[in-house]
Amino acid sequence: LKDVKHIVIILGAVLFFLFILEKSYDYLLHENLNIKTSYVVNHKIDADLLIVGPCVPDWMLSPELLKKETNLSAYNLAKPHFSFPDIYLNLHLYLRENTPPKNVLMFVSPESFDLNYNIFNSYLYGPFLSDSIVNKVVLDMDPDYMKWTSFPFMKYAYYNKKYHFNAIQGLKHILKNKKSPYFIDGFEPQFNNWKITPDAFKSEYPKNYSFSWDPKRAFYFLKIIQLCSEKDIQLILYESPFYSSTYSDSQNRQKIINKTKKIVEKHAIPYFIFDTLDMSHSMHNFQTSINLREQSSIEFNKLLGKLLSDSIINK
Amino acid sequence: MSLNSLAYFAFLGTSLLVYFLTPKNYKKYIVLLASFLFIGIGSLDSLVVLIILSTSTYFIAKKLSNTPINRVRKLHYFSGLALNCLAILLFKYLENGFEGYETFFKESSTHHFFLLLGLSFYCLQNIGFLIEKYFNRFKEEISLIDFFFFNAFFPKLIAGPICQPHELLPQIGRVEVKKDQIIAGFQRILLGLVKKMVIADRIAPGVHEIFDIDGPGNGITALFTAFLFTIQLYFDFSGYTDIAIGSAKLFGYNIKENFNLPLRATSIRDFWRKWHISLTSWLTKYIYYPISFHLRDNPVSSVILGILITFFLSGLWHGFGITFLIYAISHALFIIIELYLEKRNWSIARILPPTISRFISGLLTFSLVSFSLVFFRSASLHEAFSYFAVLFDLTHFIPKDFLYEVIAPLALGGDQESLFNFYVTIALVLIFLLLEKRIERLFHSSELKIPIIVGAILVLFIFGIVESTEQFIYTQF
Repeated sequence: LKDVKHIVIILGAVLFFLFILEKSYDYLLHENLNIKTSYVVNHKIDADLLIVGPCVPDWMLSPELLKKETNLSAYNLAKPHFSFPDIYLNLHLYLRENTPPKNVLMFVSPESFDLNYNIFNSYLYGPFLSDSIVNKVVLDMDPDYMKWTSFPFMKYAYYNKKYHFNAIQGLKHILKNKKSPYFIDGFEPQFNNWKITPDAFKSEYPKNYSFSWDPKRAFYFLKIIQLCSEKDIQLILYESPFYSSTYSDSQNRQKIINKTKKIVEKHAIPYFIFDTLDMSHSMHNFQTSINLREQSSIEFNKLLGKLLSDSIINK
Repeated sequence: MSLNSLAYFAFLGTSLLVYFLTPKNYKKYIVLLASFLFIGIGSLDSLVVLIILSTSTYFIAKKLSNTPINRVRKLHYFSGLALNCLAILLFKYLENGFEGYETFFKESSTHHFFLLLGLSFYCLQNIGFLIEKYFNRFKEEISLIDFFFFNAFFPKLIAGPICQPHELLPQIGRVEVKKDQIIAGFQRILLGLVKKMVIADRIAPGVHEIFDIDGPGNGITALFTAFLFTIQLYFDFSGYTDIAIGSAKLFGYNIKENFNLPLRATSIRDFWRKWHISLTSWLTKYIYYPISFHLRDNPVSSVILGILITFFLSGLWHGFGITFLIYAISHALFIIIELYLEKRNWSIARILPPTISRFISGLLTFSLVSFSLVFFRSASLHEAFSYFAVLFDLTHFIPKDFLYEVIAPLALGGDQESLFNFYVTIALVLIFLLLEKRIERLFHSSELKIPIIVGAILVLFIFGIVESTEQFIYTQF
């Protein structure tokens, strides 16, 4: 009987502490203003133009610069490594608490459908698993993770390296009564003085790289289109300039682009591809094959803003 | 089945349940069945090879017991030794050719090992058994079933500890599981999981980044990474051993300890007394002592040759790669130098206070071990020398931007989150190493320590790497 008592004490204590930890992390991660997903769920953004996608728009598209050209209030909801399921979930969570924007501007390139580029960031949704749509998508994308989540705290323990810093930052925001995130409009410029060499660019794509088309990514691409259509949002797709010699030997880049175009044409979604700009030819305008440097990025924001304004918004 | 996987604990739990429900006389059959199942699930080839090698060794050893000392007996003895030695050598060759373990560290997902679980560990047990029988030092008659058990006992099958006949065979079928053993077993398993998942697996990505992808950009990164790999290897291997010993205890069996705070060693000899103890004692007993005995007329060459041959064979046991041989031979040379200095009565302990001399000796030993492990960890000799070229390039030893050029590569990024995680890892390593003696004592105890157990489980959940199960490094041998 004494042994049983000991086992019960151990199990009880462990479960109790894990339960407390889970609730604390739920709260702290919700309160972290720098986690865009938490921020848009807890704060009214109500932007007219919502920018979504992976690092390319996150680091390059400035709502402030775009506003100057379009006169639309904008928020950048993009995040590095985001794939379509991430974009879909973030859009869903944004729309749960905010008025639907007039336009959603989404970065789409052949990399978007290729599993070698970007990932599904399951860990971001730990605090939002009570939402049935979030739960369903995470289960679909990362069943191994979901297997664990019914056990107390395991939704945080599984990818724990991704949470501790953010939880502590959340605590700091609570204690300091912080009202706005570090990047207020979501634009997170990452203009580094990375040493640029032709070899560095080449190493990003193996010779004769052939892009793959992942059906799951394509499925969530369609889900985004569907969600925007349901909420009466004009979805706009774009691909920003890339360093021209990067894709020079790619076998099927154009094929993937055409395939994407075919899908979006059916839904009357505009898709702008900036593959003929002069800036594409100089390595010095880029910090990676698809990310522009600061000055060229400013130029691109102006160009994109003007194009949006002329061809869609003012029309 | 990795010893820190959920599958292993489900397997262990089920085996224990059946074990406790089975009458005492049949318990050993249940363990043997579980062990065969464990190997069979991993690879059927492994099971077949284990059965063939164990059966052959058993019957050869049986002949040794029944035959008077003559040529036939010698022939049996040497054929038994040759069979097991060839099995190890063939296994090592088929596994990786004459290369180092490049593919294990660099392309573990795509590389197909010629997988024979635990072969190099149980072959050493077979050789030990034959030697003991040949010299009539192990007189007990055992059944084939017991011998299968001796080799196949699943907690220690994949990466040891290597058992000598008198350590495990007399226990088979005679053990009784007591409450304090269950407590001790459970606590040891917990300690092993913490070592593996909270320390070793947190260090692994940074070490992998420097050794396999980017290379060290400067001396201090090279030094720091070499130290970190030593710590990773220790926590990985001793974590495995803790889980193995703990699991064995749950069945009532005591198997040999493999580590005794080796990172606190104050000389290379001291290090080998504390590191991979089961292999060291096996090599000492079956290789070093016989060589020294044969060359006893010339004490100096008996010691030097004994050390060199023993370490050479230890290197060969790890793999055919030249890197493993250099790793092993470097240790032999360190020990020979140590003996020479000792003979000349040169020691820093003579000129410095004991605490300081112990600290300096400890640091020197740790550094030498870490440098030798660069060979162990490198994919090729060329890679190892390139690593040393950076390590000893004093003109670029400390870079201008320490955070960007030293910490960020090891932290896998210069962002706040990556740096935070890296500092947490370093803090956990330091805390563990500083309190190691106390932690080991607490977890080795057979007294139930509820706050310690609860604390360890929480640490495991909060800091342990769960999402990607890194293989135990020594399972490749």
